[in-house]
Amino acid sequence: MISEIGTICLILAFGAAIYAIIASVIGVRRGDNRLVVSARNAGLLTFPLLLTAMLLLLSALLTQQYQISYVWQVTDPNTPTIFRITALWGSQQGSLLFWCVLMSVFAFVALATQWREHRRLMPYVNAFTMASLAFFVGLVLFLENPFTRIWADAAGNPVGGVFQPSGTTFVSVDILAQSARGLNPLLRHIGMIIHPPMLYLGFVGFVIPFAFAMAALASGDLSSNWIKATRRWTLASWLFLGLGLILGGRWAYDVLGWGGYWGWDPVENAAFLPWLIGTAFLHSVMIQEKRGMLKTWNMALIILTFSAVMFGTFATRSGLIESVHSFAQSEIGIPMFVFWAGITLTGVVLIVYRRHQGHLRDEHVFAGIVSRESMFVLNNVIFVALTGAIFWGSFGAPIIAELTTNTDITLGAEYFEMVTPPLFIAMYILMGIAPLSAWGAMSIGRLGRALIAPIAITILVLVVLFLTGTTQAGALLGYGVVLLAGVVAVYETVRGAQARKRKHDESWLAAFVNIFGRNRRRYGGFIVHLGITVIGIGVIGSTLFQQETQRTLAVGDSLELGGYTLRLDTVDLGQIADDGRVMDIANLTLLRDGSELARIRPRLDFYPQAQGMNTMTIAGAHSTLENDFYVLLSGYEQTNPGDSTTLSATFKVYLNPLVNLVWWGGIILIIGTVISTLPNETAPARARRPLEARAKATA
Amino acid sequence: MINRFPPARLRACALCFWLLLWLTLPAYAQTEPITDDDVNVLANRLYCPVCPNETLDACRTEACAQWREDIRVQLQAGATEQQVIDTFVARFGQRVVGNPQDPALRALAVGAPILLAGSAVIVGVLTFARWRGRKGIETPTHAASSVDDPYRTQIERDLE
Repeated sequence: MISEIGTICLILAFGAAIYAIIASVIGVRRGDNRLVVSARNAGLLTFPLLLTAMLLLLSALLTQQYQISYVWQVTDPNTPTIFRITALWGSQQGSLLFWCVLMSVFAFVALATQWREHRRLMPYVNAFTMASLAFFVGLVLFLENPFTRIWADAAGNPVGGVFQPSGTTFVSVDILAQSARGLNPLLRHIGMIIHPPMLYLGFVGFVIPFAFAMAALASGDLSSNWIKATRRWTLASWLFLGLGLILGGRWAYDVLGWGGYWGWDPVENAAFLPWLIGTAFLHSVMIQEKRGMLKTWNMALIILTFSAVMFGTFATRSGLIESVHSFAQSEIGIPMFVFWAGITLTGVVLIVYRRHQGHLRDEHVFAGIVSRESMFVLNNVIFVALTGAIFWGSFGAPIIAELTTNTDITLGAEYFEMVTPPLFIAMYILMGIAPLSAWGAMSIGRLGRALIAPIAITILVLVVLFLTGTTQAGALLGYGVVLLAGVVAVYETVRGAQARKRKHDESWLAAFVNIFGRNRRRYGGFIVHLGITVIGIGVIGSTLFQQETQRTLAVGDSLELGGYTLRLDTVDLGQIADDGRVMDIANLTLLRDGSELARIRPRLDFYPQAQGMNTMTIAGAHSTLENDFYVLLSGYEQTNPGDSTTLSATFKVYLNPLVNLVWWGGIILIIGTVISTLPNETAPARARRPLEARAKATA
Repeated sequence: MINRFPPARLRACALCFWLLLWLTLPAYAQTEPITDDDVNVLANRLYCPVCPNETLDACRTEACAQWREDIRVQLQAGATEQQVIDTFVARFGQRVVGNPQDPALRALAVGAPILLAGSAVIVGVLTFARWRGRKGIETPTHAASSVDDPYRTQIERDLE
C-alpha cells in the first residue's frame, strides 16, 4: 500500500506542477487573475503531496519494508534507526525525492510569503519554480521511482515494478531481509545526518533567486524588485551551501582516511562552483542596489549560479564523473543534460533579448577607479576566474582530452594547487582593501591612509609569528595576506562601535550590539570575512606545515612525530558492534615530553553484508586548537594467531597544525551569514527623524 | 640440431648483456632500505588506476598495496621519482598523474586557465576603461561618503 500511495502522491505532485506552469502562463497572458491564483494554489499543493510521499518512504525505511527495492538497497536488519532515517538520502532515488521535497518547501514559502509584495513577478516565479520541480518529480516518477517493489517471476528472478507485473509473485519480506544490502559504509557517519540536507538546501534554494531573475526578464519588471525579493533567499542558499561544504570537508576528514579535508575531487568541486559564483553575485548585486549598475551582469551571475547547481547535479548523478561522492551511473544523465542546457540557454536568450531592448541599461555611470564599485568588479573577476579554473580542471580539460585525443586524464591536487593560489591571494588582498573603499569614488591617498592602521597591525602580528618560529617566507606571505582581510574586518567593526559609543555615550558592549542591530548586512559581512580569514589561516597551517609518517609497530613500540611520541599498547581484534560490523581497534598512547596526553583508538571497520567497499578506516585523533594528531590504522599482521606479542600494526600518522581553525572559521562564517540575513532593526522614530532630515539636507 | 651457441659463449653473451644493462642503470641500487614514507611521498603524486580520484598512498585496495610495493621495488633498484612516474604512466595512462606528463595535454590543462585568467583581466580592464570613458557624464554629488543608510552617514561624519 505504501508503494501505491507514494506513487499516487508523486503523480499528483507532477500534475499539479505542470498545471501550475500552464495556468500561470495562460493566466498572465490573458490577464485572468483567477487562473493565476489557481496556478499558485497548485504550486502550493506540491509541497504537502511530496512531503506525504517522503514520509511514506521514511516509514517504509523505519518499518523495514524490504519488498520496496529502495529499502532493500540501503538498509538491512542491523541498520541503526538513525541510519534508517539518513538512508532516505543515501542513494539516488531517495535523495531525488528528498531534493524534490526541499524544492517544494522553498516554492511553498516563496509563494506564501511574497505573493502580495511582488504581485507582478510571482506568477512567473511560480511558473519557473514549478518547471524545475516538475522536471525533478518527473525524474523520480518515471526513471528513479523509490517506491518500486521487488517481485519474483516464474523462474524466481527479481522483477521491479510499483504495481505487480503479470506472471510474478510476491516475495516474502523475511527472505528479502536476509539479502538486504545495507547502507554504504561511507555514509554511516554522523556527518551524513546533516551534510547532504545542508548541501541540498543550498543547491535547491538557488531555484528561488533564479526564478525571480527569470521572472524579471520574462515580465519586463527589471527594476530592483527582483533583487530585493531574492537577497535573503540567496544568502540563505549560500549559507546552506557553505555549511554543506564545510560539513562535507569534516566528513572527508573523519571517514575517507587520508588526513585531509579537501581533495579537489570533481564532486567536491561541483558543489564549490555555485558557491563561488553565488559569492560573486552577493557582492555584485550591491552595485545594482546602490548604483543601479551591472544589471546584465547580475542577471547572468544568478542564472549561472543555478546553471552550475544543475551542472553539478547532472555530473554527480549521471555517471559523467567517477568519485567516491558520486551516485551510481543511471538513466537520468540525458534528461538532466537537456534540462541544464535548456534553462541555461533560456536564461541567456532572455538576457540578450532584454539587453537588446535596452531594458538592462545602467542607471548610473562609473565615478572613479578607486571606488567600492571597482573593487566589487575586481572581486567578480577573481571569483569568475576561480570558477573557470576549477571547472576547467574538474570537467573541461578531462572531457576535451577524452573527446579529442581519446586520453583519460585526471587533474588532481597538483593542478589545482598550481592554478588557484594566485587567485585566492588576490581574493584575500581585495577582502582587505575593499571594505575601506567608498561608493562613488575616493582618492588613492585616502584609501592608503585608511590602510595604514590595518597594515601596521598585520605586520606586528607577522613579526610575532616570526619571532615565535614561523620563518618560512611563503607561510609568512600567506598569513600576511589572509590576516589583513581579518584585521580590516575587525578594525572596521571596532571603528563603527567606537563612533556609536562616542555619539550615544554607550558602553562598548551596547555599541557593538547596536551597530549590528542597525546594519546587519555590513557587520554580518565583516564576520563572514573574519570566518574566511580563520579558514584561510587553517588551510595555510594544515597545508604548509603538515607532517606525516607511516610505521609498523609491534606492541610496546613507539614512533616520534613533531615532538610527540605515539606508543602502541594493544590491538583488539574482531570486536563486534551492535550494527554487525567487525572492528579491529588499536589502543595507542600519545605522549609529549614523557607525559601522557591522550589515548587514541584508530580502527578498521569491516561490514560483512556491504557490497563493494566494505572496509572503513576510522581515524583516531587528539585535537587541540594548535593541531590534530591524526592516526590511521592501515593494517596489522600476527605471525602467531592468539599470541598478541607477535602482533604488529601499521599506522599512518599525520600532524595537522591549525586544521581545527578550518571548522571554527566555518562556524564564524555561518554566524556572520545568519546575522546578514536577519532584517535590520529600525531606529525609533524619535531618533530617526532628525537623522533623516539631516541626510536629506546633505543630499 | 647444430648448437650454434656453446655454453661458454652463451655465458659470455649473458655477462656482456648484464654489463650493458648495468651501465644503462641511472643510479646505483639503494643501499639504504626504502621506508614507507619514501614510498608514500611518491604514491601521493600518483592516482589509483582503478578507484576514482584516490591517490595511491590513500587507496586501501589490495591492488594499490601491490602498486605501492612496486614503487618500493623500483626505488630500491635505484629508479628516480620521475622514472617511477613514467613507468606508471606507460602502464596505466595519463589518468594516474594529477597533471598530464604528455606535453600537449599538459599545455592544454595548464594553458587554458592562464588564458582564462588573462581574458578575465582583459574584461575587467575593458570594463574599467568603458566606465572611465563615461565618467564625464555623471559626477557623484557626495562621492567620498558611504551612504548605506542615514545612520551610517552619521557614523561616517563622526569619524571625519
